[in-house]
Amino acid sequence: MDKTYSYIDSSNIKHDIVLEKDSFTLQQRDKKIMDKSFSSKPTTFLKDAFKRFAKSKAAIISTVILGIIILLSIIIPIALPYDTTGKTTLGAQYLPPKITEAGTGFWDGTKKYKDMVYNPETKMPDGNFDSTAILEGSLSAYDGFVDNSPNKFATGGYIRISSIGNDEYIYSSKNVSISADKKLILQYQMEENITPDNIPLPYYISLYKEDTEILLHESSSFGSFSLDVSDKIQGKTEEELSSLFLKVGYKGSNKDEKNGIFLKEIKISSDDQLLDNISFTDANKALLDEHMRTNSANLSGLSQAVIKLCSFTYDPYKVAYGEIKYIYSKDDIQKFIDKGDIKYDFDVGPSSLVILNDLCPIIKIESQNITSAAGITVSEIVTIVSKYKQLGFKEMPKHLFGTNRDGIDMLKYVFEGTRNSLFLAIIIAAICFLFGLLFGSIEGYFGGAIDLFLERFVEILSNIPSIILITICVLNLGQNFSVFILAMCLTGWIGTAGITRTQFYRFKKREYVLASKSLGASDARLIFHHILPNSLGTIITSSVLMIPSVIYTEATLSYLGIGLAGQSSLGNILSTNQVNIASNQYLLIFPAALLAIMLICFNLFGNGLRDAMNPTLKGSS
Amino acid sequence: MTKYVIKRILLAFISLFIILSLTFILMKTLPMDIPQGVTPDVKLAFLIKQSSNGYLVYSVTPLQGYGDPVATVKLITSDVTHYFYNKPIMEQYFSWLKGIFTRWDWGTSYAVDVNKDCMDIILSGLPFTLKVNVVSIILAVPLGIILGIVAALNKNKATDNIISTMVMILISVPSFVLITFLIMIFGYNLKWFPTEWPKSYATLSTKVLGYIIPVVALSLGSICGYCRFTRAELCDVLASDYLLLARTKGLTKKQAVIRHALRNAMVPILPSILAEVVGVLSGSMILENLYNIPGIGTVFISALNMKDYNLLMVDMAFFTMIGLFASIILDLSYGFLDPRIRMGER
Repeated sequence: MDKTYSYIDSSNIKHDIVLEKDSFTLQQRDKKIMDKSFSSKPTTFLKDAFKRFAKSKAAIISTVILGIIILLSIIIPIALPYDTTGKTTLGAQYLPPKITEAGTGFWDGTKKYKDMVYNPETKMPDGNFDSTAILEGSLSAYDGFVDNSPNKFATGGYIRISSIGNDEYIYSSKNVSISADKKLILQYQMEENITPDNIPLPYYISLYKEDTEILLHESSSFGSFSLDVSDKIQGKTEEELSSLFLKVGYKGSNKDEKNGIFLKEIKISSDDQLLDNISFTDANKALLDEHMRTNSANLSGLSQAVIKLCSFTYDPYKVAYGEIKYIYSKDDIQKFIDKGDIKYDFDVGPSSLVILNDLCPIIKIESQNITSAAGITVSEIVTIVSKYKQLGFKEMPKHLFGTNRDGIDMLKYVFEGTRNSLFLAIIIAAICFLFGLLFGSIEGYFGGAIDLFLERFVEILSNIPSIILITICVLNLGQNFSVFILAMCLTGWIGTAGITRTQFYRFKKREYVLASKSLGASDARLIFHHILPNSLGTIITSSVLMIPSVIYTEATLSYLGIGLAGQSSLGNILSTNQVNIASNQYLLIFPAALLAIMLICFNLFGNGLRDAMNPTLKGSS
Repeated sequence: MTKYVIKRILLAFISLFIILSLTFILMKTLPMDIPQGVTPDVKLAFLIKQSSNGYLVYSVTPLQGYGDPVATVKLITSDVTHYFYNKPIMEQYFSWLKGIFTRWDWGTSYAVDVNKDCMDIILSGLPFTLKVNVVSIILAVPLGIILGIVAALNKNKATDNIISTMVMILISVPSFVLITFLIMIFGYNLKWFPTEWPKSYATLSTKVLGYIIPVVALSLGSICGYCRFTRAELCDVLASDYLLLARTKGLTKKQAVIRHALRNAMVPILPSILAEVVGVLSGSMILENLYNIPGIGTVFISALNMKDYNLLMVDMAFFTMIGLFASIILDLSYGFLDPRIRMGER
């Protein structure tokens, strides 16, 4: 059918246009189209990002490590049989990390002791050590010195009179009476600079009692001296010279510098008769017997006494889990028999023991002593038991990370802490992400007065140091999991909100948003279907990077004493174990290293994610 | 510019005022402790001082209408019982403001150092914090910038990769983990440096050695920060058109880098240094605590642990003030260095 169209031109003349069907021909009827359709599927933003992410080695490695850590923190607390409440682990305190058998020297659960006092009588280290747990051949004794406290195995040495306190001196605990007509000889040996830190001072030696003090000698030179001090007591009455104590002190009042004088021996003799009560030749013995005392409460004052010291390797696992003597009663043994763990005949005695179950703690019965009197049976069966079986373990426990002061297995504890830290961080990051997204979207999308008002609110909130906000929160509301989350979320969302706001400002004036708006799209549709998907990459990256920062903050707060209470977390573990920095360093090394590795990996992962989501930002930080 | 500076400072004071007021009121809602483990007359002296400063109501007879007394003190030598009641929080707040503006009195400590002025306690800790932090800045700034320049000039070569990797690792590790390892290795195991801050009577050499561990732990983080910042800025500048122009005009690479690239790269770096110089006043609480440095961070922690809220309040005010002024200096110095920039301006 033909169609006629008409139009009127500028000079008001009507023109007609007739379109005839025949004037149209089909361009392409039975011809083949040579354009090819796409053989591959169109790629999406996320797929593209993942491809870029996979190209970065650092990001991949860190993701794998993070995955392993997260997996371990879920598996280990479930898989390990140890108790982490610290109620049933007494006796297993401070066990060093163990992975190989004792004696290999590497991660073997032994502890090297150095400079321990050696007891020459028992040929053993002095103190509370189990002789069977000392590794064979590791004990070696050598000569050494002991300072401060006198020891019963030490000899000689010096008495130090320090000048840290005010008017420091040593005095004899016993007194003597001397007569004025006799000759009085003072012999002593005083040394300077025994230890390099100490600078000598002038000193005095005197005899004193309550109201009188007879100065025998005053000097500031050092070495051995033998002096006739008869003239100092001449003319004194008998009353004045009775019940006299010896006193040696320093002169001067330089309290800021750490000084001291060192007295090796002092002999006072009267007409060739040694005045034993106030003399000494062995500083260690004199202090040990309290023959000589220092007037300072905190310093016992021994220096450089000769002693035999020893070093040895000790296997505390043997003490905690090894074989020990244990006394059972007849009823206890009967229970084992009833359970079918052992066969034992009380009439025959120890030789009749047959062990049927490998998990039974009894290894051997040494003796039995069953007596009945007046209807009461007293039984005492001395057995050798394996302590780990007694505690319910199938084999000797090996604490990979050692145990802490409560005997808690650190491997389980640390990963439990990691799990809690991660859980906390993810919850907080999620809350902050959602709230920040909402807040930032509203600010950015609506702009104007709303933005201005909300920004001032953010400004005040972000100006309060977060540590103070959290402190006030915890102090006011108490210390528990939910308060902690609340406190961390109070300021945590500000970062996300800021980024979201910027992204919204960036995209909301774009043509595609305008096009959608002119087609009648609602605010919600514009936000959630058009602007948000474009800015999500940046926002997600910042939220992922929030996880390590929460872990970090949690650790910081634990050090301040306002962290998670009642729950293990990496920060908690680190701050409570800080006291072990000198003696049991493994308690700090493992959690600190794990925390460091985790934070490094999170940052690398976050950077990889950022590079993948926003290739334009690559390389900048 | 002057108008802008004045505006920023005024705004900072307003924020400071709001924050401190909120903090004070929130702190006062906590149950106040009274000095523990001291003789009754010291306790009485503290409470009477608090009353005369307008925080408590003091009476020798029980009063009605103030709730339970905060404390009752009875000296052994006299029969009089002294009663002390809390004033309403808002009344305490105005007393507090009055105290600050008229007497520069920020409150009295009641647990850390009983009856001592809180400001004095903070000021006595400040020199230690300053010493350690200033030394660490002096070390960190040049080292960080030099490393950053080296990395930027060798971009994507082995040197850059090594530096960037080290920076990445060290910046992720918290400083308290760093100092823990440093104390462990160099303090306890190798015995090179003291394991804690040397006491006042230590010899000079010990005192000097005592700086090393905290300074290294503090500065490693900043070194990495500066290095990363400098590298990023310099990389940007090195890729810019005007540097290409400089090179085509015949400048050698060295001349172009020193005269053109570095100057422009320093624009954002210098302000951050200035801000950090102010920021050092606040120090690092945990680091100080771990190394037993008697600085203001340690004061904060002991105030927190001993629940000395008066001292805590002053410490918080101090930190807030430092933080605010550091951010002002950061923003203002941008403007001075590059007049095109007006941070915070719309």
